[in-house]
Amino acid sequence: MNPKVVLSLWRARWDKTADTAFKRPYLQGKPNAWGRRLTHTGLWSLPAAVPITSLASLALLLWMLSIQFSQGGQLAFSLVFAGFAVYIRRYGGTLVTLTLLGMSLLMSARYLYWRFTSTLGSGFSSDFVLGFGLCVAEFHLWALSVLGFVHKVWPLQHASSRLPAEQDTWPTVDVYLPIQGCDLATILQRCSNAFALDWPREKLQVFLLDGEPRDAAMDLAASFGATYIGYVDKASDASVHVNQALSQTDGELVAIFDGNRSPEKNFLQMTAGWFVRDQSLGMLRTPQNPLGAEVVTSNPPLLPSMTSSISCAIVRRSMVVEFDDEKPGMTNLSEHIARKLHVLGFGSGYIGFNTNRIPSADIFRVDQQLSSTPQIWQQRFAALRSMLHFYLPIPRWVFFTAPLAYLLAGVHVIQTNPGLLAAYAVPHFLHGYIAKGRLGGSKRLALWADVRDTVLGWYMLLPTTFSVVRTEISQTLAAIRTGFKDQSREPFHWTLSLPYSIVLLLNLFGLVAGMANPQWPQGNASIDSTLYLPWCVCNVMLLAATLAVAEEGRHIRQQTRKLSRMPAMLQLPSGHTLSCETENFPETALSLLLPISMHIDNGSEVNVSIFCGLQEYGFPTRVVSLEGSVLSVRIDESALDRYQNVGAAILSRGPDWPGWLPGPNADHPLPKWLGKPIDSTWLKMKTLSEKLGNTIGRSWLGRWIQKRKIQT
Amino acid sequence: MSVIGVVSMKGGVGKTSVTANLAAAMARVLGPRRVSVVDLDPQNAMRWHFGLDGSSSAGGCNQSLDGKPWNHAVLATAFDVTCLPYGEADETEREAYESLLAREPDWISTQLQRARLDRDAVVLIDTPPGPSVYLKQVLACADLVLIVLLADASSYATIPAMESWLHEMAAISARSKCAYVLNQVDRTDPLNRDVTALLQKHLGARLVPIHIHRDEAVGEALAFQQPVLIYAPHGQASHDLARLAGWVIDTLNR
Repeated sequence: MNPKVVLSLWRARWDKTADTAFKRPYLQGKPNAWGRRLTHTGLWSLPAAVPITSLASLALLLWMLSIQFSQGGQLAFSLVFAGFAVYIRRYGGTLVTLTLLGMSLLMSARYLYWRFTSTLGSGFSSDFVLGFGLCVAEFHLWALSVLGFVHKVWPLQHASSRLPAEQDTWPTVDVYLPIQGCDLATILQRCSNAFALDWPREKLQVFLLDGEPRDAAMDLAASFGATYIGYVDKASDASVHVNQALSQTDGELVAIFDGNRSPEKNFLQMTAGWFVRDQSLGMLRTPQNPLGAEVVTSNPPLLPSMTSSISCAIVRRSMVVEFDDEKPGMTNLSEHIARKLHVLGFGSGYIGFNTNRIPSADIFRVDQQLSSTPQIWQQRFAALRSMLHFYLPIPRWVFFTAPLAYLLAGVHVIQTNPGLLAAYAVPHFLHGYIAKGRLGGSKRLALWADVRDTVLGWYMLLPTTFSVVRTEISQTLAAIRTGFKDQSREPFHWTLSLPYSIVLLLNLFGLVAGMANPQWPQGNASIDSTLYLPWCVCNVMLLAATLAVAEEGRHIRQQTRKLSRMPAMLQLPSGHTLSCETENFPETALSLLLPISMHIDNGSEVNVSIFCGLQEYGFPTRVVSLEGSVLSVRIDESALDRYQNVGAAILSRGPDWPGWLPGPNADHPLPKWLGKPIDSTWLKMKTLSEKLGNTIGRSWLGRWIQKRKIQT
Repeated sequence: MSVIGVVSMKGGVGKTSVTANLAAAMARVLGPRRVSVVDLDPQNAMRWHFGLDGSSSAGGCNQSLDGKPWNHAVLATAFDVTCLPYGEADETEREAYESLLAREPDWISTQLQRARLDRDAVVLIDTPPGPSVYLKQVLACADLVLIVLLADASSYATIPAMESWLHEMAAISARSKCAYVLNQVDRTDPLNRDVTALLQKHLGARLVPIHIHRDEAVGEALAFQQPVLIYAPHGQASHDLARLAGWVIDTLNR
């Protein structure tokens, strides 16, 4: 459910014609041809051509950074670049992308340099301190986006090592699936994925590690042919069970698949080759899909309900059992095993990079990740980026409260006039938006990422702060995390929205205070009307969107309870039908509220249809009991799969979203008396320019240009 | 006065039962003395749905041939619906009636005007299946035309013929809305399910979103000479017909 899908659903719901393309396809034209000529000249093969050009470019960049333009100069400079960027962004191609990234880099660097040098207060006044804090926050964000650019431009190339041809020499593999806290459907899914791994069946053994023995899971394991190990300790951590299981199993390699998703079919084929080739290799870590397409482009997905590590590890058992894990509290077990192996002197390899870890700050403090593991520079940058992203809530809260510093406390955080600030900041934002949009493509729209990150800000801020200070608090983190899966906990909802409400109120106060300022709009306070007040307004909008998301979360929880009553139809063997209601919809043991009392034999086969909107879903069921006007039926096994799919689809509320969005005129935010004149003026301007273009084209100038075009 | 024509290209789709049951459902919503049913099907089967006495032979056919207004042959029922049967007519009378209708293309609408019904009265007209002179006249004077289909392959095959017929008639009946109604839908039957999906996809918005489910109660209600809403008020067919009545009222009001 990404914004584009929601928009298309909304359009369908309000009977609007579907836009065939949200975005025009990229052009391929003259700029691409020039780019190709530039990159394919023989000049690049000259010795030292590349280093010299790089150094020269770097020097040019640094020089351009520090040029101090006047306001008019900076304006002209920005306009030229902005015009060029807006023109060139329509073209496809890597060179164009790099150009856009470079321009964004330059403009943002200029902006930050100017901020740090020219807009801070003097001495150590509160102006200076808060202004400096704001500058650091902006720098943080910029560093994050720069690292994102780097990651996009130089992605890590994945390597593979081939297995020997004879299958007899392939090692035996034990697959560990830690399943505590998982429901049966998830276990079923993970088990079938594990058994779908492409590896000789006699050399593969699957173990399900559970926190407490469950009969249903045991039966499920038996039906697959996996071994079920249920531990009686209630430790919620996978690493404890893994350690215990390591001493109980005897495969040569152990693959641990933690997290809710399972790896691809050829995972073992891709990774086991390294172990065969290099006997001293102790461990290999990969993200879930080392060769899959990476959907995350700028912001890694960190959703509250996701479990911590979405990583896999494959280890050589003989080396791992030599040490014991005395820190069962660490939640990222693969990291730990890697640490220990390294300490013991064994090799540990890393394919891909883990940008999706929540407790990365943990690792930073305890294990000095950047220095201990031998990683190439791209991985270090990626780790740095994930750390910066983890601390993103802090600059975000700085942004939310910065205008309040002026409006409520009179602290000048930015000391400049609005015109100069606009001249520097507008290209910074504009180019940043263009570059991010270019990299993000169709998967991320700019504002939605902000809203989502803002929602996560509070959730992540507390753990962030604590985990840097004390490691033992991470145990509380694990408890909180599993507690978050329980959706009925209302206090969680308050924890999420209360700070936002407070900051929203403060921003509203700030708005009122700013507008009530007796000096507004003239006098020295002119900057607050052009900077801080609109800033406040933006904050208010973002926070309102955040609160709306939290409200929708609550709405979802209520809706789940309401959904249990769905209109249904009971079809009896005699051909008669009865219009009834379900009482507990998504459950397999369905109970129906009948409008009249009647007699049905227990065990008779009836068909039940559930109506959802205009759709009807029919399932064969068997009558379990009839008490008064409540009929209990059990869905047949053959239809169980489909029934659960239908339940999940209905509960996911996908098509409901358009109903939640504003009404049919939401795409016309301006009222008609305002929107129509603007629209018609714009149309008139367009037709006029077209006519002008036609006239010129027909004139002698146009004919001359045409001739030139045909010649080239 | 709103006129609803219930038509079909093919016989045996349940047109008469849909008309009768829909009339009873609308009478439930709108109240007594507002809903009337006119039977133009020579089969003269409408009266059985309302438990009318089969002894009288008066009906629209005879009255028209005798030049008398229809009001005299209208019968009141116990279900808040007034019914005008076709009447007992032998072959010659029927042919005379049909040639009368062929000569005067506005005959039906004139008779309806002469009946001097209230402004908020609703008249449902049942027609024989296939292209006929009755169908032409009803298409000319109806505000809403409901085309009844079964969810089977032969119904699907008649859609092109219906569409071309409607297209020809569009010149005459520019103001009438058309909608397809699916009858006897049964999800447990695979062919039924598939044809339903196919029809939904093919007809799109022209298909009424409310389908009438297959229910034994409909046939049994006719055997008991009652509308199915009275006979089995909690059956799915009754439920669907009640919703269909609501939909029809909304459509007429729009």
